[in-house]
Amino acid sequence: MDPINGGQARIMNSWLRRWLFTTYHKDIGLLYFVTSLWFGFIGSILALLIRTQLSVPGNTLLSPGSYDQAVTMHGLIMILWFLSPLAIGLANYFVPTQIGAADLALPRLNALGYWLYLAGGLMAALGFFMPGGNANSGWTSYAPLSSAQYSPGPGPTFAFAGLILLAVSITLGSVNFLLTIAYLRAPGMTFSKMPMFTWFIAFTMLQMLLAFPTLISALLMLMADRVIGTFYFTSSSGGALLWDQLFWFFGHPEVYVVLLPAFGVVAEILPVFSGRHLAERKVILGATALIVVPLSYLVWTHHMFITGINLSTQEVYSVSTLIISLPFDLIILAFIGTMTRGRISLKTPMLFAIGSILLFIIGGITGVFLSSFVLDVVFRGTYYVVAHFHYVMVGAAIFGLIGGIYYWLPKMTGRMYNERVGKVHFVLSFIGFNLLYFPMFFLIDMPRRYSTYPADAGWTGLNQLATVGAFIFALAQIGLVYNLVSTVRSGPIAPPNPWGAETLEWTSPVSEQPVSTGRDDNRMGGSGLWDSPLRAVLPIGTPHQNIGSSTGPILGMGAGGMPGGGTKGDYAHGAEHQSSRPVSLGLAAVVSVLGIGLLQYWYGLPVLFLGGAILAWTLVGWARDDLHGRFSIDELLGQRWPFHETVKLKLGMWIFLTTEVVVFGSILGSYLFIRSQVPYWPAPGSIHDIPLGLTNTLVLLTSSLTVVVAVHAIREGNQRLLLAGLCSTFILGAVFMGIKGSEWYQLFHLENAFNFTAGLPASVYYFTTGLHGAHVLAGMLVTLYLIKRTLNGGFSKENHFAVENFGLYWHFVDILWVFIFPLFYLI
Amino acid sequence: MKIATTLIVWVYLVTATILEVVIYSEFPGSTLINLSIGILAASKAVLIVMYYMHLKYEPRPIQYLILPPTFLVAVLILTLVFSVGH
Repeated sequence: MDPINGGQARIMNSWLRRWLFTTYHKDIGLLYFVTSLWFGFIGSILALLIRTQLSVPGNTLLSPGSYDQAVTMHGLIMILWFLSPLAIGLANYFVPTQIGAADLALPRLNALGYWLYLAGGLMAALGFFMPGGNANSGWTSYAPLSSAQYSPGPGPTFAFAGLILLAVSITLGSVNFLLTIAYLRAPGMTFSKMPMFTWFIAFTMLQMLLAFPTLISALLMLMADRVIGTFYFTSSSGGALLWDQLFWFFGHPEVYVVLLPAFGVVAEILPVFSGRHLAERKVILGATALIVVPLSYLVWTHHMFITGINLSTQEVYSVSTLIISLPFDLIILAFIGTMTRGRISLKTPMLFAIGSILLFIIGGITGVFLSSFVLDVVFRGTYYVVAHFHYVMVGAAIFGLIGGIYYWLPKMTGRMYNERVGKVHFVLSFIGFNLLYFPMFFLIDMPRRYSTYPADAGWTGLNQLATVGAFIFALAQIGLVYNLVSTVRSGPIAPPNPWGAETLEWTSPVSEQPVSTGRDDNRMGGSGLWDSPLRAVLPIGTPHQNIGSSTGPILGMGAGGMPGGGTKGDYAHGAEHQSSRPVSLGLAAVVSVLGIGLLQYWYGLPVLFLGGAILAWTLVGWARDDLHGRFSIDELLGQRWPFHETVKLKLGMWIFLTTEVVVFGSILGSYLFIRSQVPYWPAPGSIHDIPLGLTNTLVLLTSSLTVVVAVHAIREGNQRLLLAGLCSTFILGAVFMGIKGSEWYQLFHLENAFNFTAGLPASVYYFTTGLHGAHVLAGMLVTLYLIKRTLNGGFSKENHFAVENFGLYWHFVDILWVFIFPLFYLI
Repeated sequence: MKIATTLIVWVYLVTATILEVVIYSEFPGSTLINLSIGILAASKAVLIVMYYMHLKYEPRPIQYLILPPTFLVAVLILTLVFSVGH
């Protein structure tokens, strides 16, 4: 082989392997960062199309159908594939370094989250190229517009399936981040000393954790409606209202999910560029933790004031919406207080931070009026609302996050950006943004989502101003792109801490290289890093001489100058750090969703089977990795309050189960809602076989007993009893599934077939028991893995937490059936 | 946790399940009976969480973890069911 070409091939191969197989948090952060910017670009193109369409009355640039698709996908892409992932990118990169962790708690899960995010986004974008086009029912996907009847074709199915992948990705990510922050903080990194960005990411993750599962439930039901013909959201018995409730239960916290990371960035930038401590730090944290986060879940029906919900509900949620504005007043006052009497340095990050605050004030004040259910009747569905939420979600969030990009760019690249270009970027962005959205406050009588308007409506001038603003705002972003590219390529070398910031990430060297310990957990111990003095835990103003002192390497640095002790060359040589499983699972997701979307064609089913085969192959590979110890998982007790008595993965399982509570809570809640709305429901026993249901319940309850026996056995070190317990559990699970399958078969073959399309009772029965059955099946697969590992001698008295965690999952699945049985068979 | 406790819990779970069916068979369709069946189901869930999932023996922070989602689901269900009509 030509040595030069061979060398290039090796470099290319190494480069590809790095970005496809990486599990390192900085790499994943960069992947999120770059991908989200691309999605932002796509969303911006759609926005410019919308604004161009509305620039003149009676415009025919876009057909009404195309306009609907542009509006829908603009909203979805910008909120879910651009804004949040951009914040997640920064969080991936900086949260571990801010708390002194070498990586996230579960790196492979982190990589899987990215690939599912990308897979979902690709599927959503693919919809544009399908016959019939993409989803067109607004970013809220209101039912029944989002049903197969009104949004036919594979495009919307791809978009909704893509959303499910995204929601799963975010849910996994939130478990991972919370586990990291709870478990992997360095010694001395108490909650009271934790950086504000990390705090706000923790708040964001808490909201994601319990908000996205409802979206997952709603989307699964929507997909069931679209693909197998159930009636959740197409029934006249409140289907549309049910979607509204579930969607906004997710949708309102999502506003704060988008906003809070930006506030975290602003809270980092303000003190640094004001030369002062952050004012009222405890007040900011307290207000966010005690009011914003919990109350964000309790205001959602203010989006539904005009849907026909009763007055009492409107009153309760009107008050809760008013209350949630109060903590934001405190936060903004604290931000302003930080700048007051400070030595303000108007560098680009600071300009964007101030811009974020100013725009949030406008967005926040205009939002208060929407809490009134009287005023809401006037404002709802108008451009006033469009202006309000863009001031919050684009203005406050984007400006804050862009400030974060400029703030941390020297740390990410080791080079300084062009300050003059940055300032021009800010000025044009600020002017363009306000020119774009401020006129919309005066379009109070113009309904949103209309593809055009008549010339005599009096809206032309304001729309044209908005369109000019849109193009200025969009063109201004060339400044960001220029700065990103030129900084990476040729920016002057940045000092280690150009801003004189006090948080921990600035004490670590510029590096994108991973640790190569091949462990699917933090690298506690062994590197010396945990004995290092920590900059962040020292009082502000303490000299830096302790950093990197003789007591150990610089925080985040091992002996080789890399986090955890790796060396720069590790990446090429340390293949054990990489895993092909996450990207492979992403591929399986793409192929499976393709198959589901194309089921109406003959080739849909084979494609779906192919996706299933890739999935099975990957899961087997993942299990083999674990069995062969490629990614060993420490089962150490936590060392940080308040989880110092808890094993890390057990905490992870409990956090995961909280999301499952919401998933099934939403599904069972939907069942109860439907029962309360539908005038007729089959009497218990008239369709479902109660003795069969009883038998299945007893089988599942007994399987819980066998799991307890298995856990008890391995705690005593009894391998044979463990094996017996696991095998019994598997058999009982199989019996349960067999009985369930035979029951379904019988119901399908009744004289009046009780199949998927037999009405609402059938819809909720098959969907609920089907999803539960899928959980049982997943549990059985894990049991097989545990049996294999037991046979390999993989468990002992000291090393048994995988069995315990499986037990938690299995018992939870059991609990679900404890409720499903009486609800469907007896009541 | 002692194995005897495990068995006692299992006996309760089985007995309560059979009781649910017996109650339904004797008094089908009554709201009070439906409520009783619901309470029995909830008691089974609590026992599984407390004893089989060991929540009773876990540190406080883990015990508190389960409260927010349970509360939110309750709020969601109550709003779903009671937000329509007067």
